[in-house]
Amino acid sequence: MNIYKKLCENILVLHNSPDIDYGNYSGLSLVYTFYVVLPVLTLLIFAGSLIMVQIVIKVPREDNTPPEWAMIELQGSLETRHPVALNGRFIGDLHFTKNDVPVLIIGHHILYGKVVSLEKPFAVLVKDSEQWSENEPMETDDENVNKGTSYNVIAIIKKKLLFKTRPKPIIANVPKKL
Amino acid sequence: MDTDNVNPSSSVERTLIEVEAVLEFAKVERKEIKAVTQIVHFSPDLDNDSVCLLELDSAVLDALNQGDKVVIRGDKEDGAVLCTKNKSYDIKGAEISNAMLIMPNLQFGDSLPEDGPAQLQFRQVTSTLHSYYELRQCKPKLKKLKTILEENPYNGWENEEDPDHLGNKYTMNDILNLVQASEIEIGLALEKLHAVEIDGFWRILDFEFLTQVLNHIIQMCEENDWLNTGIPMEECLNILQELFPRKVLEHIIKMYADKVGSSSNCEEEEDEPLTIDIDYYRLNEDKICRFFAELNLKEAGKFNLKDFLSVWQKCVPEGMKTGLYQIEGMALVDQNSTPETIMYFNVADLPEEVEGRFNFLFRTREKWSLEDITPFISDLATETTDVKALLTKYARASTHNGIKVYNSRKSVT
Repeated sequence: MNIYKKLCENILVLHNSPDIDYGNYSGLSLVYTFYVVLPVLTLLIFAGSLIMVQIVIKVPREDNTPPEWAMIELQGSLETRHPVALNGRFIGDLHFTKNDVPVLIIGHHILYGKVVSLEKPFAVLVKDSEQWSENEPMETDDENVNKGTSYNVIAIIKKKLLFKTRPKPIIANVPKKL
Repeated sequence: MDTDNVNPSSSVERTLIEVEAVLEFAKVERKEIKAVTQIVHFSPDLDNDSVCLLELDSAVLDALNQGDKVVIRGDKEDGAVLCTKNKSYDIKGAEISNAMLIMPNLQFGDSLPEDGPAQLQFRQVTSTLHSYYELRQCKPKLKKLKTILEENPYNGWENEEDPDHLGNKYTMNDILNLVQASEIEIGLALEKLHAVEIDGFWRILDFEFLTQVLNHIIQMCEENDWLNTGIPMEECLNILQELFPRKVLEHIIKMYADKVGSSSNCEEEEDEPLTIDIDYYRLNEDKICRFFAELNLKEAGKFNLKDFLSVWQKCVPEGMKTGLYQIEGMALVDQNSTPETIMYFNVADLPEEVEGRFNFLFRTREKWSLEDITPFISDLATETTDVKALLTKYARASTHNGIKVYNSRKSVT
């Protein structure tokens, strides 16, 4: 595991893109890596709360079927050149070609991707801050469940945009400030 | 223009002119792409910690959509297991180097208009994740159910206050908190363990106690010719309730006897055509024989096969016939020793997970015929992996004296 992490770090450094200043852009760059992505399976510690209790996963009552969200999957990770919060930052322009091929331009990189329907959709889970609720008349012996943690399925993700090909650098002069 | 390029929910500004300029640098022609450009940006409330992704299969998704109970069960030592009403899944965390940007409002190309004036739409990324949880359907982990119920088996009401019987007792909800299996799987396992709910607690029956009750029932059967007619449930309960709780009696009768249908018993007097429905239960020969085999084997451990067969036949009620097929999965016959022996070997006591099971089996006996090993591994088979497939994976086949036998693939520990 440590070796794996270290390996990743090295590769990240190796492939770190040279800095190209894009004028008033946010300075966000895509750090990309190329190697076979093997999911590292680790034992789950679900928010550290797995102590002899049942954790309920549910769709909140109000919206019986959760909304469908989407995902963009990028090879690598998004980093800023300076350690600043990413909140509110601009990432890139997403276009679709007339054939519905997604084209994402991040900083000085252009990426061509594809739309992938997930064979196994993702549930987006958020820990339920409220106490287990009201409109479910629970049997009396379910008291422990009431006290337990629960997670809400706030959305389902069935499709993603996958950008897995090597990003192509955009070779251009630094654009004039517009 | 101004209204287009200011994102109401963020400080991100982006104008069509900028977008067009970048397209030009990138050498992407306007006519190749659709008119709508989605400006992807991080939400001001970007939150990577409170959100997680769980990969679902269609069964779990359906369960969630239908509002069925989906829970994660386990305790400190066990990994997490997700259970729907009838299935169990191991939960594994998967880390990937790819970044997954979660986007509530992203539009895919097929929902964007072909043509029209170029325009910008702002799309937020609410979380960036590098991990998700995945589910692998698994066998329910039921060993623990047996272990916790064995802490305090039921031994009759007069013994409930005994120091020996003050151990933990478990309600269904306690069990659901402790055992990593779905409710239906737990229900089936309780049935298999012959557990009964007494005063709200699920209990297995002490074997001696069971023997005592069953002997009473059999004795009643022999005295009243119920072996032939079947046991009239109500009558039997009424007689024996002095000695044992009705609930336990009924449970044991149902365990060892099959309902033969209720017959309307018309009283003879014509002036009072009183009709009573009586449920009859006929003792199940195989189950009763199996019980007596267990009784004998448990005490003796290892038996001379010939002696065992004769003792066994003598124990069972008159008219019942014993046969080795009745004790499949409970005993092991050794035909290679002289004289042939039989020993108590119950599949219920063997390790639950596949590797441990095979290891245990090969430690007990080096080589197994298919016929011999099947009863001890058939419970491990799944829809996709049958007994043969299990053997292919965990054992090596060879021919010994003309019989195909299986031995361990690796050295037995």
